[in-house]
Amino acid sequence: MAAPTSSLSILAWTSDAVLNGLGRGTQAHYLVDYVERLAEIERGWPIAIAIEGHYVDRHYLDDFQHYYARSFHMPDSACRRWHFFARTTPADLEAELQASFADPSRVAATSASLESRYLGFLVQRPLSGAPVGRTVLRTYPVDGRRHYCVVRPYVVHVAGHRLRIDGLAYQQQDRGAAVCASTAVWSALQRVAHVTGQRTPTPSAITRASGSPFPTSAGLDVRQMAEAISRLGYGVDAFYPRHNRALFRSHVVAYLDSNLPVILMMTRKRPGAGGQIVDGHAIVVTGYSEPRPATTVATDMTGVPPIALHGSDADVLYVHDDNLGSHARYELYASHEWEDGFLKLEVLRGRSNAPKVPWWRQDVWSVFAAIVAKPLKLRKGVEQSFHDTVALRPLVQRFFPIDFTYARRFTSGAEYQRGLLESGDVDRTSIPKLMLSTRFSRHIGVIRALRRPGSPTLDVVVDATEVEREPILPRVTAIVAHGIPVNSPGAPRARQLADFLGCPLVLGKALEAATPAQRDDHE
Amino acid sequence: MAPVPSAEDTARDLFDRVLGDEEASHLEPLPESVLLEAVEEGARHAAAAEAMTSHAEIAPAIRFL
Repeated sequence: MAAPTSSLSILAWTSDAVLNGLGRGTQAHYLVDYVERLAEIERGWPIAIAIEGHYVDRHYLDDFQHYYARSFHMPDSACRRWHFFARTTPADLEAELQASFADPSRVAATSASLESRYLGFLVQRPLSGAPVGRTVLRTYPVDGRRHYCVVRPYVVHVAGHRLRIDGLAYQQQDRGAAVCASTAVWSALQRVAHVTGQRTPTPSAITRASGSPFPTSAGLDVRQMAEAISRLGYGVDAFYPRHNRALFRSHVVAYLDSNLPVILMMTRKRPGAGGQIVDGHAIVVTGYSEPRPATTVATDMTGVPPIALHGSDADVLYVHDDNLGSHARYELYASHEWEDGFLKLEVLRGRSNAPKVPWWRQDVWSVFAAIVAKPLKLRKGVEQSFHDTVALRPLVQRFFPIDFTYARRFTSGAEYQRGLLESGDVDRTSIPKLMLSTRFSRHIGVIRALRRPGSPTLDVVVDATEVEREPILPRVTAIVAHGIPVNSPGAPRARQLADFLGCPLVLGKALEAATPAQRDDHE
Repeated sequence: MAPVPSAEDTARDLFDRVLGDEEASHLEPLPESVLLEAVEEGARHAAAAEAMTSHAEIAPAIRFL
């Protein structure tokens, strides 16, 4: 390319060009497959690649400073960065850039045009065997079932143009500065640091914060991963599938619905010469496919009736797996096999109904635990939100004798208020009280009762910055009853419920009175 | 014997129709004793659920790599 972009080379997408450039590893094959599907290459759409020949990546540079600079065979300190653009040819991309260089009035339009076709970037580290560094790719379009819950915006500069992409950074483990455990924490903190306004820690910083006395390649245990998250200034939650796999799935979905990534800790046993060897592997769940309508979850708790929980049937997860790639589709299923006294919850690393590919061998792991990095002041965990749900359910049921499905999530008080302000479903007369006279804590728990999927009846909003000392009922901030119209028979009951709990109430938008024709029809 | 309304019928009756003035004038609030009983029941359920909470489980020293 000409002088103004001398370090940026633009070339046409071919799978061979990418595979040759990135070393033909599993992660490179996955990237090719993912980008080609994303760009709908099968329909003949072209893809252009722009490569920055010299790119300084903060994350790799920190790994370099703390590990590679002291290696006997020291790699380079600089990286290359690949950008991918859909539906454009190299010639068109170059012409578009050149036109914006020549005419300032075209810059904004060119930036917008580039951003609309931008699929993401990959930082290529100068590490043989582990070239796939920080990579952010756009997700597949949301089709009503796919939920990519933990993406965040990234700002990228290409030839002077500022582009924004929503994704979640992924990278391949290099074993020198990070392994799967630290890489999983690194990906998860990409989202959590963004939410809390902090700078994302580098893989090396995570490994150091774990306090592990062993070389990085020895991996981390659960406690060391939690230690790293805590020392970096975040809260940690951990939960286990053992005694109740359906409840565990709904916990995973509750965190994803809270826009917090879930790190799944998986194990696999294999025979060794001296006995069984247990392998451990960590992946980050970034989303899920909408499960079937919730089935009732047996609580396996004496005296607690079964409860329908959103996500308890979730069986398709999207994950960042440093062995494979970003937003990979994995399947979760309840096995009939027992392990350590519990029925196993297993993960198929792949898609059961997809044709096999030569570059990836699907395998099955058993889920051992989940850990979640969260904002420090979000002190309630997902299990406490479940306790809140079962504590409130009898009261809700007295007023509304309906078999609700309960969905749980955490969010910020400010976000929730903002959502209400923009909602077209609520009675606006009660909004001023909620906005002006109600104190929302920084983090709140939302326990939502749904009549059917997508049809919320009411939200019970609770403080999530504190765990109750005398847990008779959680501290309720407000009740927001989108699904109870202000002029319906449910409204007086909702008012009594709110009065009893001592909290404000927002009801749903008024129903229009039925016309005589509608009444006749009904009769 | 009158048929027992389904949960969906109950929901429709509560949320999908306009409350008439005459009907509103006859509505009785739930007695406080019923509500207190529900709170006690919820507290029992929460305590039972808490007893099953697994956060105290000791993580075995499996290394994830």
